[in-house]
Amino acid sequence: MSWPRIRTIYRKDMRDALRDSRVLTAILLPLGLGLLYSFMFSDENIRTQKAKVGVVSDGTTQLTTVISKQTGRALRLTFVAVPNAPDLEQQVQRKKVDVGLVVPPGFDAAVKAGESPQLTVVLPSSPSFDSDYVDAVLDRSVQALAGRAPPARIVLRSLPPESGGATAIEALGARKDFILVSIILLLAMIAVYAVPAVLVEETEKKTMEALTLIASTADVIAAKALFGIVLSIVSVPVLLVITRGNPAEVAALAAAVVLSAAVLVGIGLLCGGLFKTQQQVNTWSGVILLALLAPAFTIGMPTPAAVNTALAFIPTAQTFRLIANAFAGRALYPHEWLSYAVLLAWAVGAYGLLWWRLSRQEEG
Amino acid sequence: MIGAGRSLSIEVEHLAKHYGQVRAVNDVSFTAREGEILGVLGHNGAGKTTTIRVLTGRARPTGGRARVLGYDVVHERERMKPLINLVFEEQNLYIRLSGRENLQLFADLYGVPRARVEELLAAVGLSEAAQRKVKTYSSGMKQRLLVARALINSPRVLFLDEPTRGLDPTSAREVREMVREQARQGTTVFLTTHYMEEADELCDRVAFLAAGRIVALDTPRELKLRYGERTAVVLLTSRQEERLRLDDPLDAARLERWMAEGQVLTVHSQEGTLEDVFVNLAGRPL
Repeated sequence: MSWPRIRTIYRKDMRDALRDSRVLTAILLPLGLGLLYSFMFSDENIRTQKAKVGVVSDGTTQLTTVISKQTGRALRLTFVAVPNAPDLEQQVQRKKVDVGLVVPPGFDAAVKAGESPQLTVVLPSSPSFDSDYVDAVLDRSVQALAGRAPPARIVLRSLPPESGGATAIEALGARKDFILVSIILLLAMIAVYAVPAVLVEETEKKTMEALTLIASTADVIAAKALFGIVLSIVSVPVLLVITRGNPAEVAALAAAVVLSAAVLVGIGLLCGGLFKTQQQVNTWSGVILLALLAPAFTIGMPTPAAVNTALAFIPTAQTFRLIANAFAGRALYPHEWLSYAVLLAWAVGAYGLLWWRLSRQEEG
Repeated sequence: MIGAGRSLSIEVEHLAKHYGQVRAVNDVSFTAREGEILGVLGHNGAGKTTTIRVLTGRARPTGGRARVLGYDVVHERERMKPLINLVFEEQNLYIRLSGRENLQLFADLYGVPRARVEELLAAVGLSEAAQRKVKTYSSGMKQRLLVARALINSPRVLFLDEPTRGLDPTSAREVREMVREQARQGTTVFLTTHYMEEADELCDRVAFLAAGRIVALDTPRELKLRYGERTAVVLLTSRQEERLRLDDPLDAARLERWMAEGQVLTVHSQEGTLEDVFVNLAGRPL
């Protein structure tokens, strides 16, 4: 192999790729999806419930603050000021708010004076969990507002998360979880769509024959591998910037992305050697892409043990685990060494097979 | 004999290339001298492209030996590669790159200074279109770019696989002139073609390939003399035109009789064509 020739072919591939709609699609589609997901989902855990409470009051009551304290992390409340009771009923009816409270003027003082003022709760015809929950904490809230000691002192002890117990979506929230999915999609699209497309085009258009008049087939393949890996390494940070993905451990993420890109590009090059036409790339790359994407959606889901074991052999499953850990800054998925071992095994297998095929081709 | 004489650029001895049961090239032997244009003619599948593939080191022969510029095409191909080049049958260019970028790529691969790119673009008349993407080029322009690409390393042996196929007469003539110029500069040209006139006009020697074997190899003139039919077209006083084979005693006697009887207005003798020779040897026209 000749490094100057590999570099020359790699530069040509890069220049050509920027004018190739197929390669641009393979990059822009995951970037676009990542951007969309980052706007669609928030960083909060998907188990966090939210409720909107409409309040009619003179603006002096502390009841809303007390209710918020009572619901705590279990239910995030947003209070909306409503001018009068009929409007409040209308808003509850139209589901603009989940529940309504009519707080009479001087409510706080009356409660503290033990006068038992009236507090009206407006519930929809079919109350939701959120509206029932607000209703349920009202009694405790009013007692707190009145300054009465609770019948028992409740002590909360939050246990640290059990290693491997939380999934990425639980630990990182939906937005970051989908950023992880977008990273996997980006790496897979470049590796099993863009790279084979570029390689097959060389064969189909017979430009490969022109290159191998002076370069070796190994030079061309090495240049394509470099092209795929560099494209991945450049595209992932772009995805992170536009989606505001902020990994806790950048170095760990970089290591996982580089190794995964190398493995996936190796698989893509093997596919590119098997496919003869662009049509075959379009058909079969889709199937391979699905197989590579599946773990990103299923890891951490309540799947049978056998499925989880099978997923462990798919390289992207290990990529997902490693990048999820890098994002969380802790071992959401234990045994990182196993993930690296699986990826390295894939790398050895893919590039070993490529080397074997090239040797046969060179002899042919 | 292989190895004899420094001026031999291509030496092929009992070359064979089989693909399973198919004998694409079968016991082929020939040589080509420095500065010679050797044409190879044959039907589709006769083994022309396979011969080029073997001689350019892109396919391993099943049997026999071949040396290009003294280098064994199997064992010394890496040393041979920088000294040869090929104009492919297909217009295998990078169509999203410009003409200049296409040539720069190969200049870099061959380690040739970039100045050579501009020199060649000017030589093939593509300087003004050099910045345009190749997909906007006409077929003739692409073919000229292919020739320029094949000359990027100033090859000592230039292979051309059907270089004028599908070109209009003007573009074909331009390509032929470039080939002739290369030979004048001492480059050995190995040319395959379907066009008899092209072979007749360009080649110093012509080989006819049929079913993987060389059935004849000589200068076009010698081939025509040896295998062609000499004919005469006779216009009689009755305005009737007769075509006679001069080597046929009966036709010769007829001509003699017409002349004695004063029936002959004009006689035009005709030399056999390469096409006739090919039909005689291969059994059917190209």
